[in-house]
Amino acid sequence: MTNLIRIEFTKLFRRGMTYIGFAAILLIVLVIQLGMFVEGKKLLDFLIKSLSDVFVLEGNLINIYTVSYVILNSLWIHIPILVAIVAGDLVSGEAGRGTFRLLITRPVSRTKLLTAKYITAQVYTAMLVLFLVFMSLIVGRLFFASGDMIVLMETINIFDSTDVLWRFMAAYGYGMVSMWVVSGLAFLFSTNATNSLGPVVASMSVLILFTIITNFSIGIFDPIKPFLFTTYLNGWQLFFAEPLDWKSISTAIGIMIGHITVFYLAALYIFKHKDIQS
Amino acid sequence: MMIENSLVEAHGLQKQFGRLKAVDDVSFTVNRGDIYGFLGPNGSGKSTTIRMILGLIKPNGGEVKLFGQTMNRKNFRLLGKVGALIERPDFYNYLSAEKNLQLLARYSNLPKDDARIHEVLDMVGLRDRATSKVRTFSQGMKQRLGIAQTLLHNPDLIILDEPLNGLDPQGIKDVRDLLFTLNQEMGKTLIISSHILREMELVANRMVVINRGKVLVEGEVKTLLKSSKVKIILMTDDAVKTIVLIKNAYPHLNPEQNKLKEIIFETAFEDVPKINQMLVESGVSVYQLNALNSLEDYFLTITA
Repeated sequence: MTNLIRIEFTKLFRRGMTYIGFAAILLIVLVIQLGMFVEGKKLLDFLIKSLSDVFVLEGNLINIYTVSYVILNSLWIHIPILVAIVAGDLVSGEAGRGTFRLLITRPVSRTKLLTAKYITAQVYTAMLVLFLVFMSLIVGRLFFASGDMIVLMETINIFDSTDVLWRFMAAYGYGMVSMWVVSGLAFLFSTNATNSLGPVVASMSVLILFTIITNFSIGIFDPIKPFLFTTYLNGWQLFFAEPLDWKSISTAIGIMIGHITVFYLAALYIFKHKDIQS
Repeated sequence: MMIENSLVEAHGLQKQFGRLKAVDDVSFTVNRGDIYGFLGPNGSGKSTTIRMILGLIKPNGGEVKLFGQTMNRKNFRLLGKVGALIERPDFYNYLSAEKNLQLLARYSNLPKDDARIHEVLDMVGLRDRATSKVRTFSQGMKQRLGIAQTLLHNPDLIILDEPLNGLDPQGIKDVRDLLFTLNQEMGKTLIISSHILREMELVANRMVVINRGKVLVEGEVKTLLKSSKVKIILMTDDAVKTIVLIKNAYPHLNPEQNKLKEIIFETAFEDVPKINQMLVESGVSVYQLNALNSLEDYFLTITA
């Protein structure tokens, strides 16, 4: 299995397409950081205008944590597309190129072959999220100082600078799990496609549809909402609430892990029973 | 350890895609040491059958035995003794020929052995392009690389689906020589499907002909050709007398003279020496007698 995973990574990182995700994150983060560096104070003043009438706010609120929080918001908008581009190509790309015939005629079990590809997709997804961490918290430190952080949700939460870093790590960890769900979905579509575009479009369509259902305040959708992964994609925000709602966090992670497992098992079933005709 | 004589046995293979019956009760046997020809027009079910042999496609009925064991997806380890090139030779175009073969060797769980990779590249005449990216290869070069990858793990059985596609005349000759080397010097058993029938006639010792998913005929190429009619092209000093003599001796034959003054007719293979003897004994000087017995004619006759 290790050998197969290594082969998958060799193939993955010899392709230019693999680096699109990293390049896009680099650009997204740098643009946000540049924007916040130049215009951040104005933006924050606008956002907390009503607060400053009531509270006395001192110090630099445009700090590494505020900027990273803004960057984290991009996680469930942009990263799913970047993840789906690679995960959606891992199986369908082989079918489209005709290289599956080369692989399946080797003495390799289909289960191991697909599992190696699934692990590769999820490790790649983790690498993208870790790169986001690196860009936002480490590279960002070059431009922004540390400091306390204000989060405006249903309530106003102000976190001391010493209490923020672990929350970010936990939020990124949660974000990684949510991106594994998207990656798993794109991978599932990939096992039944012969071109890379189909799985990307299909997974994005599901993501959009489920997001609409999740956000629709119509009663008939309420019973299914707890089972849709999109309900939990922005759950990373739960780590920026006080007190922490561990029950909701663990339920969300449990349901997302369930999705990741179901997507893998469904992909495996399809792949094991599939006739290789391409 | 017992050595199996039959490397591939197909019994009653069936495959249906929707309403289309692509393969219908196909049975054949490939023996150790054979160069086994797989013939049939496009869409006849050749590739589907080959894919069923290799476990790429699951049959709806029937069974394939490889090396005496039932071949199914659970028994994938049998493929360690098989090298296969199915349809187009597709590779990772962004990698070099050498890197492609290294990856495929790793899929086969082979130890890292660059010498073996260079050896197989040498066998197909691609040694000097080992480090070139496959995207720079012509179709013929990809075809040869496709054959090279079948040899990596030194398999007993090599299955080549249309291996001569895209090759120039010299390439065809080189591959033909390579097939003979693999078979006669290295003891490999080969299954070859090709639409270049002349090549199959030159290379294969046994064959199966498939049309519309059914086996039309299976057996030794020589025997099958012998049982078919041959086309005679005859040139003598007296064409008119020759035609009369043939018609008198063999009233069922229909010899005719063409614009080149050649006499042309079809007859059974075993009649050829008798006709020649009869003409000579009747005082006709035979300048030329060609008995053309082509697989192409045979193929067209039985698939018509």
